[in-house]
Amino acid sequence: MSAFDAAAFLRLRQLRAIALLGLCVAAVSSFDSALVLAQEPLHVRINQIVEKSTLGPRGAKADDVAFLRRIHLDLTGRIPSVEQTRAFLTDTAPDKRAKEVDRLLASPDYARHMALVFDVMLMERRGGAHVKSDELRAWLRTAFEQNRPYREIARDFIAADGTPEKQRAASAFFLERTAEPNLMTREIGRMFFGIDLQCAQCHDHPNIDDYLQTDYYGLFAFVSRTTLFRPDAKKPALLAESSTGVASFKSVFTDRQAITGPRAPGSVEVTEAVFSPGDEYKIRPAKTVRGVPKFSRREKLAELIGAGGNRYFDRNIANRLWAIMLGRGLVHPVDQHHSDNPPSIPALLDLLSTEFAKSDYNVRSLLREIALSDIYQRSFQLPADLAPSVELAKKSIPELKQLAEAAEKSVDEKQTKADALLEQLDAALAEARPLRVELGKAVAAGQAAAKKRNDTATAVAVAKGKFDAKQKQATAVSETATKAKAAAAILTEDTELAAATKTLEAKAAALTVLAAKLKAAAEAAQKPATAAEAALAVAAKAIEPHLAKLAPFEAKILERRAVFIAAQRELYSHRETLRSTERRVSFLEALVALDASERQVATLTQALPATTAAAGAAQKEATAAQTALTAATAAMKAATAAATTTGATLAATTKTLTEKQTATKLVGETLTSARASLKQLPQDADLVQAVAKLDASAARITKELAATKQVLPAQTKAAEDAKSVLATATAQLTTATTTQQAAAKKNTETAAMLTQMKTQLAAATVTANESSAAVIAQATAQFNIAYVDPLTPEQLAVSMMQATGRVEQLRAGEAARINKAAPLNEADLKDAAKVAAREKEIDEATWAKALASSAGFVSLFGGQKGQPQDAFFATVDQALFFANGGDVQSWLAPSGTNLTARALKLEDPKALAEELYLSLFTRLPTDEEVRETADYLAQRKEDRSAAVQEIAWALITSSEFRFHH
Amino acid sequence: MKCQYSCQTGEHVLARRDFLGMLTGGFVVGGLGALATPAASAVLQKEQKRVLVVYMSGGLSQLESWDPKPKTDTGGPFRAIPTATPGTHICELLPKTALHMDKLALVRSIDTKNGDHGKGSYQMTYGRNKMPGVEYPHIGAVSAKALERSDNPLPGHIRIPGGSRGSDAAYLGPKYASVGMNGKPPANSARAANLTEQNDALRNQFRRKVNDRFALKRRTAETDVYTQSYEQAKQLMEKRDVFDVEKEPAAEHEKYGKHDFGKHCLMARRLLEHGIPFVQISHSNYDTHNENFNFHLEQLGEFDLSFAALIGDLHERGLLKSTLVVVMSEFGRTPRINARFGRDHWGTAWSVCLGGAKIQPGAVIGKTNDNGTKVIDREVDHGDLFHTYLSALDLDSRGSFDIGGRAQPMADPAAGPIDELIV
Repeated sequence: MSAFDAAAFLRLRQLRAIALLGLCVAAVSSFDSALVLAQEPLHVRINQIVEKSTLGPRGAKADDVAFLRRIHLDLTGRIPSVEQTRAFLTDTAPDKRAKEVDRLLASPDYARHMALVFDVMLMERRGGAHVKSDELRAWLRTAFEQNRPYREIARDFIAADGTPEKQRAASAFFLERTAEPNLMTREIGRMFFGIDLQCAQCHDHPNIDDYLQTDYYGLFAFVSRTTLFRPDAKKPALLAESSTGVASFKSVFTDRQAITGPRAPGSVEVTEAVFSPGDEYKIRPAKTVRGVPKFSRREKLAELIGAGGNRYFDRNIANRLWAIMLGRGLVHPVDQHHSDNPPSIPALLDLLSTEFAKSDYNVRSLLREIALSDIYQRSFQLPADLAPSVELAKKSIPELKQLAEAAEKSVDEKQTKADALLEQLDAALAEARPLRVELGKAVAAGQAAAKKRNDTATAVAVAKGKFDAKQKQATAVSETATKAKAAAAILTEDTELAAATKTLEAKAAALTVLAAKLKAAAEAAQKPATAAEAALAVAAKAIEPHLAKLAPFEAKILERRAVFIAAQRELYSHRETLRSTERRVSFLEALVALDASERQVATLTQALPATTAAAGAAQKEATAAQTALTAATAAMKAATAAATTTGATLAATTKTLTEKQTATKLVGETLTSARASLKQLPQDADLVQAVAKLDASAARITKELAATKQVLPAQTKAAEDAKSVLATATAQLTTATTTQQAAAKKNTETAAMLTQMKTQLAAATVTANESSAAVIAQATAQFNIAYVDPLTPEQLAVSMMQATGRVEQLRAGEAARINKAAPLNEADLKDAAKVAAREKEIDEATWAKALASSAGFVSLFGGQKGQPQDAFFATVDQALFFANGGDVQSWLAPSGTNLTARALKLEDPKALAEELYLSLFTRLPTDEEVRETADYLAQRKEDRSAAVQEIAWALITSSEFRFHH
Repeated sequence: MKCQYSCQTGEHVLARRDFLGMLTGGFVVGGLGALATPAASAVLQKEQKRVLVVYMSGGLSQLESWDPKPKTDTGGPFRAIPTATPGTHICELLPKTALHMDKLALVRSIDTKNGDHGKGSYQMTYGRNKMPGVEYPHIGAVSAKALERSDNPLPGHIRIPGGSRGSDAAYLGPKYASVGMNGKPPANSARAANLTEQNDALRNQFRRKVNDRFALKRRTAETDVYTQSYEQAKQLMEKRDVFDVEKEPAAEHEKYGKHDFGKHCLMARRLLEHGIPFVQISHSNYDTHNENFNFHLEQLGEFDLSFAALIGDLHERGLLKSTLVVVMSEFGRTPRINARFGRDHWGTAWSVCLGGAKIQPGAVIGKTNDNGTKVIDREVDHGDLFHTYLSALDLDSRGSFDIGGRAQPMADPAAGPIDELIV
């Protein structure tokens, strides 16, 4: 706050108030441009910063229809209608995008949508226990319609105490969280300062260096005295606040203990007005009385936020507004602002937050400037050619690494310095501790005295009350007695009257005595009261010297805290630079890795067919060689067998020949000898017979011998031939074996080469995919390409209703209902103002109905109540709901002029496809898509109506519809 | 049981597709290499792990169940009986369960320092003390998230009985919140009457083409998860019968008992068998401030029959080695017997029974003194037990979930698992 020029700030607010008299957006924007008179418009400066700081590849400018879909979703919460898309496509004005932005910002849809966005953001689907969500949304809507400065809206959320005069609707923030102080500490930190301190409740945050336990208790001190107050369950809950309660704490890790006054992140303790004991309350609390202290810590926080200028507050809201438009924060997640998680473009968050503060927290103006910036209008696709950015990246990496090294060194230095300063701060706190204890005792004594004073004063009041009552009775009775006495004096004979008078006199006397007694009692009660009053004065006085004694120590603490905070800020800034640089390096390295792996994949993919062919050929050769070898082996086997057979045959024949020759010789000799004997004994019949037999035998053997002799040459030749064949086969086998071995070797080698190449390719593909995912993730985080984020449950539901024509059905229903209930007569219909008012009424009713119909979507697609709503999840339940649930099917059934009914009327498949794509995807179909649609219709021509519904269903359940891009 | 590793199981189909995609699909800008790789390997390496919690509502007496102290001033009328694990005795009210104690383990040294139903129930099922303003996920949500598999379309966190969706997943998101089951298939799981299966297939084919075209422009983890949810929906539609307990044969109903708890145990088995990661069933009511012994006699009679049948089946069907079973309560009951023969709330020294998955069968952890009034060995609390459950499922209980860039510890960082109970 010290750095803030309060005077300029005031002037600014006045200026803005004057400008608001203009009451329209045009006036607001002209005011904005007047404000930055000397400077370029903010969106141009955004462009300049982005231009300077962007690294790596980035998406081209999104085309008109992509822009149109995006801006409608962001500013109105639903996709454009098909008429709006057609009109935008045919509009040739060069500034049509800016015009569309301004038109939407001025439309009732904008405030309605922002109210929903802020309700969900700040309440995280809580609501209804004390303040209805509709009530809060209506309040927010008015705020956005009037474009109230955001610091005021935020202030109201903290200041609201549930009473109507203090924005009852805004008290939802506290009431719906039952005002639980630890929860409030966390939620105020998250929602308004962008820091989730939950883990710093019991110790410094274990994972986030910047989040200290003392920061937690600084915020805690603002809300720890606030409680939910509801003595009567029939009446609305309110917030009460006590005037006591300190935020002291002790780390469960280090036993470091300290105490802190209320303190916003990055600031010193606020100055608190001190009231004497017994004098702290505007309304003193009691069982059925809501306490309101004279100094409210919660209101102090509201005031502090309402004044604007807290760095954490400014950065948080600038970042959240950015996230509303771009789908993700410059700091992401939005409640994790700390130096280890720097903004993706640090200079940009600086610019946005300071300019937003300068514009007096003008939400509409900031959203407009963001919408007009180049970075908002980027495509969600990376450029096809990454080469130029890779070259740049290679050059930048060494420089950035040097930068990171230097930053690391200075982080260490700053850390040492901050640690030393923290020790000094702790020392100052330690010095003050005994004094605080003393003061605490004095205050406690004072409070005890105040209690006694209060009690005795109450006793006096009670006694006085009793006396007064009795006195009144006594006076009344004695007056009656006097009158009765006068009457009795006239009616002397009336004995009854006389008796009554006597009774009355006796009663009056008795009452007077009683009254006197009560008076004495009251007087007696006054004494201790006076004493207690005096004692309180003394006790209160006794506090003063303690306060005076503590004052210089407090001043010292403040001073050291300020110095420590400044050192912390410096440390954070250096660490932010370090982390930011590291992130950039990792982004660029991923890019280079992607390029390298992509090249490798390309090279390998290119080389793969040749290698595959070579391997194929080698395998073929090997197979052929193997076949040849097998054949040669078979031939060899056959030849060997033949050689063996012929050899054996020859040997047998040769053997037979020899035997026969021997036999011939023997038989010849025997014959000769027999003949000689016959000559000697010519008559011997036996001998004659023997000779004859021998003759025959010799003849047979000779014949046989001749036969054998005859086959011998052939057999010899056959044997020789077989031998020669065998020799050839042997030679062939040797050759075939050699060939086969060579081919097999080659085959193994090429196969191994192929396997290796495939492994390399697989590895390179994995690396490429991983680096690609990393590059895309980081390019998205840097906003080089648009973030593809899911539609919120309401965006999804209302967009579906818009696209299918369900909204128009609802509108027709609401118009009929309203016009029936209060018909416009002919004169009314000629009155433009009345007609417009009716239109507006119908429009309101229509969207209220549409939003109510999205309740089912919220329970299926929304996060759990009280949890961040930004985590995406897709469930089987959701898919089943779209696939088989009644809602979507009925919206898609042709009826009246809804989407499918309109499409069905179009005979030409191209026209039909165009109607569907324009309505559902806000773009024209490609030729391929037209063809697919035509094919589908042709395939299902027996039931064209069903076919059209099926196509529409397929489009509406696709990623292109489900996601914002 | 049919071998789960036969070729056409879902996991193999998926794994093959992932691998083919990775190896031959070539390089796609915006591809999910980084995401697909661990998923694919996880599918190959891991069998579906499951958890069954049997919640003994009201506070089961440890003395009438897992830690009997017969013949002491606190012991009550029942005897202790031997079990299938030599040396381990449990109360005679659990004769059938005793036969399965060789598959189960006991922790007899729990001190949760609490005697409040709500807080105790939170401690035991969320693994932490309830703190104002902070929400943690239920053990069922943690299990559903940690054991989630992309090839399993069935809901991950089932509560029996019930009909609605719980809000017990905190930062893990509604996807992991409990789904109450009454033995009927999930909402919207039947195809509309006027849509034939063939035409449904046609429109889905068209949807896939539209998605593929968009994926060429930009593919993210989210778009993948979204498009995949429709494939899972289709699978779930084919598996509707899993939720219909009446499809079980009459003999099974007989075996488990015809009372509600028996039916719930049978439903639990049917769901676990089909790969649902987390099922919780409850048995009510053990809050026996009066007539503790009569109530336990009656209640445990029911429990023993169905629970023993369930453990027996899980074991026989080979599921116990991948299924963690825990029988827990919000606390135990006082050793002191009050004037109404009741026992009161007691978080100082009590027991749970658990088994399956990586729990060492037959183990007994910790000890109470002779009459069960305090823990004398290996004191643990709900935080340690929560870590132990996760460890038994082969999870790193000291790890964190990454929820939208915020690291959320799976279990209370101040506690740790009972390492000696894990095989």
